[in-house]
This record gives sequence, structure tokens and C-alpha cells, in this order.
Amino acid sequence: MPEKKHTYRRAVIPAVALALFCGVSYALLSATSTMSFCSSACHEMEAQAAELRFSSHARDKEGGDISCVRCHIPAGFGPRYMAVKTYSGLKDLYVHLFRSGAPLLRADLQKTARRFIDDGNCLLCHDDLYRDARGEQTVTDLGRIAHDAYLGKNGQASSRCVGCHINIAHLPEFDRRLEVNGLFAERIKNKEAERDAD
Amino acid sequence: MRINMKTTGLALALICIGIGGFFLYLDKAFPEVRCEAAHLAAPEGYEDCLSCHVKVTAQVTQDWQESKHGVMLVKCVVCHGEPDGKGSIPFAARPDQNMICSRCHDPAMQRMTAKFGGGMDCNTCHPRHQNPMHADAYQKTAASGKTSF
Repeated sequence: MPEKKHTYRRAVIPAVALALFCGVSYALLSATSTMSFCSSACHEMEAQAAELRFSSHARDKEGGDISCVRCHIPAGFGPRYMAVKTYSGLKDLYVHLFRSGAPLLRADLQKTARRFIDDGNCLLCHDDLYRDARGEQTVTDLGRIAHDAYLGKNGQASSRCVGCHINIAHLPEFDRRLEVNGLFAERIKNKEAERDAD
Repeated sequence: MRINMKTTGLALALICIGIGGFFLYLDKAFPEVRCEAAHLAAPEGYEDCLSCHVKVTAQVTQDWQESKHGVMLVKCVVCHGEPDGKGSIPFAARPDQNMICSRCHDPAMQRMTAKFGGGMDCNTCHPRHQNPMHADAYQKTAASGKTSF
């Protein structure tokens, strides 16, 4: 019966197309969210990946490696995730294809990167803002005041997590002189000295 | 194949709305400027800027300390005013250059305006906090004092 065939086509073809689209999208989103894709597939983020290994954010509280997307792309598959993933993906693709010869200016990269670090990602591990991620040590008095402001208990702060917490996972050359980054800078320096001695 | 103008127009309009909406959402959900010092809801008792800001805005503070302004001890309040609004300088994260910079640098600003025209932002060439005397982050040289017209 031609009419039935027509209905069948109208229902099944879009469903198959949608399923295929979702499947391919999911596969692509997952494949472009791995650590190796960011750092070695295109080579752009090698320095950042190397620095991450010496930062306090190399491993999470369970001891697992923290990958780029755990901080840089909002968690879940919601609109925030899709917006940042699309924007960053297209930007990275453009830079890789058309600006690959130009040096990456890290001071500029910092601004874009910080803009898209979602507080939700930080709070997944740092659920208690008055203790460290493992819940062992309490924060300093200044940290308590700042977090009171963040939570709206004492004044208000429109600065999100990375407004104050900078250089927690990456440390470009020009930020190594900052006193607060002393320990992180020393770890990188020791590693670089070791590498030079080899 | 005959191109249907109405359908094409509708499709183009939808694409434009889609792209515009995407960037609008991105701007709303991830604003570029976040900190406007709104945390100073109770401004009394915040006389010592440096004791907090050396930790919470370490980069800005150290840049200032290493800059000419820091070495000459031009303190925060000279440009940023006081959080309680007292004094003649309005409290602002981004001070108005015509009001603030010109208090000390008016002759130089007039020379710059005569040479390059007005309407430029001082901060573009002379980063206020990032003009250190010693560190290698020295970005733009200041005027030598021999500026000719």
C-alpha cells in the first residue's frame, strides 16, 4: 500500500537521521574532549599539559588524572556545555588551520580561558568552600571572608572562582615571579633543570 | 531547480537568528567582565587595601609594587578612591583617565594629545599596573623626557 509506505518513511527516516546525528555528535564530542587530543593531536597545548602535571590540579581527590575538559568545559550535556564546546571548538579549529604559524600569546589566552571556566566544575570537587577538596584542612581567614562574600553571606562578589584563583593549573613564564605561585614555579623549574641535566 | 525566494529568505533569517542567539547566550552566560568590587557592601573598616589584595588579586598587587607607581608609593586610593566614598576621588575599579591620570600627568597628556590626537586610552600604551621597573614584563617604554613636538 503506497500510503502506508509513505507514513513509514515519514516516521522512520527522520528518527534514524536523528539517532545517527546524536550518535556521531556524541562520538565527536567525546573524541575531541580527551587530554591527548588537546595536547598532542594538534600540539598547541603541550606546554599547558606539561605545566598541569606539576600543579595542585594534576590529580583529583580520588587520585585520578584531571583532564582539560574537567575545568575548561562546563559539566553535563546542557546548553552551557554545548555553547562552550561549540565556541572553543570552532575557535581552536580556526587557529589551528589559519593561525598555526603565529605564536600563542598566553596573556590573551588567559582571558578567554578564564571567561569559560564554569564555577560548577570547581564546585564538583570543592563542595565545601571552607575546607580543601579532600576536606582535611580549613581555608585561611582571608579565604573564609572571600568565600563568605562569594556565597552572599557577607556582602556580595560578582567575581567567580577564577576571578581570584588564578594560575592554579597553568603557569606561564610571566606569572612565575608572583609570590603566590612560588611553590608551583619551583616544581616546574626543578623539572626543567632535571630535563636540561639529562 | 527554481529557487524559492521566500524559503531561502526564511532559512537565511533563521540562520542569522541562530548565530546571533548563540553569541547573545554566550555573552549572557559567560560575561567577559566579572569583578566590579561589589563585595565592598560594608565599606567601613577597609582602610588597608593591600593586606587583602596581595592575596585575592595577587597579580595586580605585585604588578603595582614593581611598577613606577608602586616604587614611588602612589597608593591605591590615589587613583581608585576609597570604598566609603569619602575624599575627592570617586571609588572605581577603572578610574576615569581625564580625571585621575591628568591630576599628575596633565602636561604629558597634553603633549600626547597635541602629537597623536585625543580620545585615546592611556592604559593601552602605558598599562597602569604592568609597567614594572625591574621585571622582564616591561612592555612599553615611558617617555624619555625629550619628547619633541
